[in-house]
Amino acid sequence: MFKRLGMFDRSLGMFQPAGSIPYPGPQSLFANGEQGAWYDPSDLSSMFQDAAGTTPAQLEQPVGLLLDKSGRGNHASQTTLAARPVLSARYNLLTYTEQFDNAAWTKLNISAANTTVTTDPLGGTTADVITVTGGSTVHNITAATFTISSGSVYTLKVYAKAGTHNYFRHGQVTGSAWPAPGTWWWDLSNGTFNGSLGSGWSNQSITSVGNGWYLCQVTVTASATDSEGYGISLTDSSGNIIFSASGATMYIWGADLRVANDGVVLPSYQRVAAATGYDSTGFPTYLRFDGIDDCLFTSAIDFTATDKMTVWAGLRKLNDSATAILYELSADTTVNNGVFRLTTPSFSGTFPYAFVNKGSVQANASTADTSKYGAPVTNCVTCIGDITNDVSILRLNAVQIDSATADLGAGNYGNYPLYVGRRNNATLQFSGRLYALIIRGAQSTETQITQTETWVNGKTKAY
Amino acid sequence: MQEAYRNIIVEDAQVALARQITEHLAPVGGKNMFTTGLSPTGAEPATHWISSGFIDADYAALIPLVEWTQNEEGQWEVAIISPGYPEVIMNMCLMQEPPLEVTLTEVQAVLDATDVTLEQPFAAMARMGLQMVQEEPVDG
Repeated sequence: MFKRLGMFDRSLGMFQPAGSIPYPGPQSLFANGEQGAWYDPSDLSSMFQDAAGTTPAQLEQPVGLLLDKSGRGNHASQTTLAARPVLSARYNLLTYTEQFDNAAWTKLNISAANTTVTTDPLGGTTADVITVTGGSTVHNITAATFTISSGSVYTLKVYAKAGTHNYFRHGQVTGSAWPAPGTWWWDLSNGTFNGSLGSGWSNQSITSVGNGWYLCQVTVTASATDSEGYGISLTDSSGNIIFSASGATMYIWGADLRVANDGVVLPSYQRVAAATGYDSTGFPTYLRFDGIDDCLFTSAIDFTATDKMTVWAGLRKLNDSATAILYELSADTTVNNGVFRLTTPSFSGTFPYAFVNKGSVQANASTADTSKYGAPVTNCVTCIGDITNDVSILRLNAVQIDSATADLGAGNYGNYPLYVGRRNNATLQFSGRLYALIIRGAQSTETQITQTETWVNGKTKAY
Repeated sequence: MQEAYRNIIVEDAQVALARQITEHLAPVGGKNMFTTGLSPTGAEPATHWISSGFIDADYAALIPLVEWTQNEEGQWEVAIISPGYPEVIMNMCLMQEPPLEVTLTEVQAVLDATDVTLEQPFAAMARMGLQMVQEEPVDG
């Protein structure tokens, strides 16, 4: 006798145990005519580059119209070109990641060229051979620099294969953002790590992927804010970066540099050619708000028939230096009644998240845990409001963080535009990514809350 | 419509006319630009204003474009990619209905007070020693 243990739920991307209710999708949240909106940046058909909705959205292009998939018609748009967020699925900060012969890579006493001597780790023909030139000197290959923020943690990785040379490491390149790497090296002849990582460097690994190729990766915590680059330094068999080995060769492929906490369960490597040409398979798409002036907003949404609200958002915030608003009902919740907003951060970073909820009186549900929720960070944020019963709840990654019972006054939610990314399309701009946003003017059951959180996390990969 | 990415920072003294010119050259997409104030300290009043993102490619072709690089001494050096076309801008403003009455001198003054690059906004702000003017923290 076979016992059914459950089923694989495609909408959630996970196994559902027997006896659980399959999630019917966010559209079910509006099945009874509930007012609200459902915005889904993973659905390219729901976005357009222009506000009129004539030019379909595409990666690395602005989005001027974000359709509401709830069926309520509360589409969000932006007519000012420069104020449109950009649709993206970019995670690897490097370019030409399989083209080390490209000018984007600076070669110092090294040459690089495509080779057919070996296939690449995927069995293709894009592997490159690097050849040592010059005498007793450093030999490295580095990528264009970009601003590295102090305290941020990055993962550097590349696939490498021994040629006639076996030794290399990642390391400090041109700026001061990376701490001194220490004396260490990977040995591609036997797949081993040698030496000691410098302070701030950690989690190195060298993993065989077949055909002599190894995935070599290490994590580094930036010690300063500065321009810094991605660098591969060849070493000798003792980890010295100054050595002579003219004509020696090594194979490399697939460089990847990304913020270490940028999503979970993502593919470990993202191929990038030019900045706008990259592989997006397996990488969640998002709207990128530049923290300068990007905003999408709706016409007035009539929530006057309800005093209940549930809002789910999948986001990544990049900056906590200034107060920023991800979404707000009405032009200013401080002066209007029947409103709400998510401030991230609030009070210039004192509170990484604050859900402001207001009938005729305001209450906040927030967190001050900057160590866990400080930028850069990816979170699924659920905000629950109930004006009559004085409920204001903040949930982060499916965990209730704060529940405020302070008086919310009286009345229902109002009839106002919803602003996403900025207050009133004018101030307090959000810097980061939006993966999903669902606003439901109704009380949601525990099952609806948790299943929708799981759905949002499937689009966000926060936990 | 073709679009091009630009990061544009305008000095406060010229921003009012810059907004008018932009709106005349791009009546829909160019409206409500330069709404984020900048200053060296982040405190008001704003000394500069910024817009960053994709703009109408025809408009982008008319305004200047420069590239900044640092020399070995760490000093910034500018290379002019395009000087802009102030006379064309003036004529287009005068031809609009209703026209924007501007002189060549006025248009040139706006262009001279504008930093237009392909940089990311925070990199440009760092180069110019500017921060966003921050509002007083909202209550919560």
